[in-house]
Amino acid sequence: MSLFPMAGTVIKNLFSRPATRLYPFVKREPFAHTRGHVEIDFSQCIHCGICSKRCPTHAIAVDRAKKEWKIDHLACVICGNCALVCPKKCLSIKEAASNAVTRANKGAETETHTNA
Amino acid sequence: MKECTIIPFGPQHPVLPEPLHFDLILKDETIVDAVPQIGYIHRGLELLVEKREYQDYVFVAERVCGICSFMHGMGYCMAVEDMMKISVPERALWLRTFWSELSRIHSHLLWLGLAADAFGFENLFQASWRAREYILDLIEATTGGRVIFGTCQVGGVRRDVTAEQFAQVLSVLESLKKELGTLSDIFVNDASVKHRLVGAGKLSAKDAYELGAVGPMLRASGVAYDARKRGYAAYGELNFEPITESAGDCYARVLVRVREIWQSIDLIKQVAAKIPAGELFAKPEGMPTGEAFIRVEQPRGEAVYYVRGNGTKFLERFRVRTPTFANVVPMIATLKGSTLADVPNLVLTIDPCISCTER
Repeated sequence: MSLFPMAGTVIKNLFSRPATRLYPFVKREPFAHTRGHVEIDFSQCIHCGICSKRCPTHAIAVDRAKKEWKIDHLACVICGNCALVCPKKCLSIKEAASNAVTRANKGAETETHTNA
Repeated sequence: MKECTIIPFGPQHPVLPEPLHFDLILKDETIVDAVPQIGYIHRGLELLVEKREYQDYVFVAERVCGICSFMHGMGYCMAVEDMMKISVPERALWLRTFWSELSRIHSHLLWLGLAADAFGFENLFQASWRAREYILDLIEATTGGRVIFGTCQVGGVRRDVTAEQFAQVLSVLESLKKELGTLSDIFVNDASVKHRLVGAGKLSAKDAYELGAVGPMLRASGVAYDARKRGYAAYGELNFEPITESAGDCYARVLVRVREIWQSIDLIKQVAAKIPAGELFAKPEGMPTGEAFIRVEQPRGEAVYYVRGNGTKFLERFRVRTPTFANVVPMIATLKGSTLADVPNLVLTIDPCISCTER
């Protein structure tokens, strides 16, 4: 009895299009307000260091003397707390995921902004 | 004990998504005793509460587990709110209920897939996870994360869900009903599924209660206890009854979870219809002092949260009693007397989450 529904499924699967996307050519757009990565508008930054203190994973390091802001994207869990607590609102969460770290683009895991 | 054989089960085993070890003591094919051992993935997250500000710790609490993440965050927030006497805005409570139920559907679908995998039904495993993917999309659209919601904060929630988003959720759930119907039909009626599950690992209502089983494990044995009936968040204003089965075997546990998916869909509909407008967040005032206990019904069962504050912005203690920890003892009881071939099913039907248990 249950052979016939199964045969139907098999025939349907043989002639239907793939259920998955042809990934590198067809990309899935992230939803609006997805937490993808942290971005900084460094010209607005006042180096107060609140983001660094409130970061649950200590991914952000701020050096007041050197006027430097640094993030380790691999340590960042994109909780969005930094953007929430930033007094100048220069931090924001963007939808796209941060760049993949590969052998070819070594160093993409950290991002440093400095005034020096 | 002379004629007994000891067979190690885990920590690496095809059916286990996470490390859990048993020494199974067998007499022929029958299990005489099982000695559990955990502690492979302890991360010390509870201690971290002393090092993170109480508002920021919610992000850590959420990462106690990757599946019931939202409810861990919510449990922590509820405990801190209870301790600090914060009255959370109504809409925030309703949104928490909404996300809890979405999280319950995705957790149960994940588990049904893993259970199907454990009894060797690969196709059903893939089909369950495909259905789960639609739920994950809904979660991402409403919260911004697939499994880590990140929307709960002490005093309320961080994000609102618009009326259009509610409409979208309802329409996706409606269109999922056909697929879920097919899935439920296979889990409930298929002969090969029944063959593996019916009668395996029976746990009587008395044993389940006395050994401290929680969640679907307890309800499958016929005890109608569901922590949601305590009325936390907005559950007090929703119309639902705990789902119970009487058989207490692996099949009954599957039935309870399948039926809970339908119940959650119904609850989400109720939330979408009744949710009040209003504020999302009440700012906490002062520093946390005192202590609080909170109980939350997670997909896997009842979880208990304890917090203690000392008047600084760092809490002194945070403790979670996770459902899996409570369910290990009744699981050992079901293992005794069953055969070696049933062990994967018995272990899987408690819906083990070891990273929760060890934190």
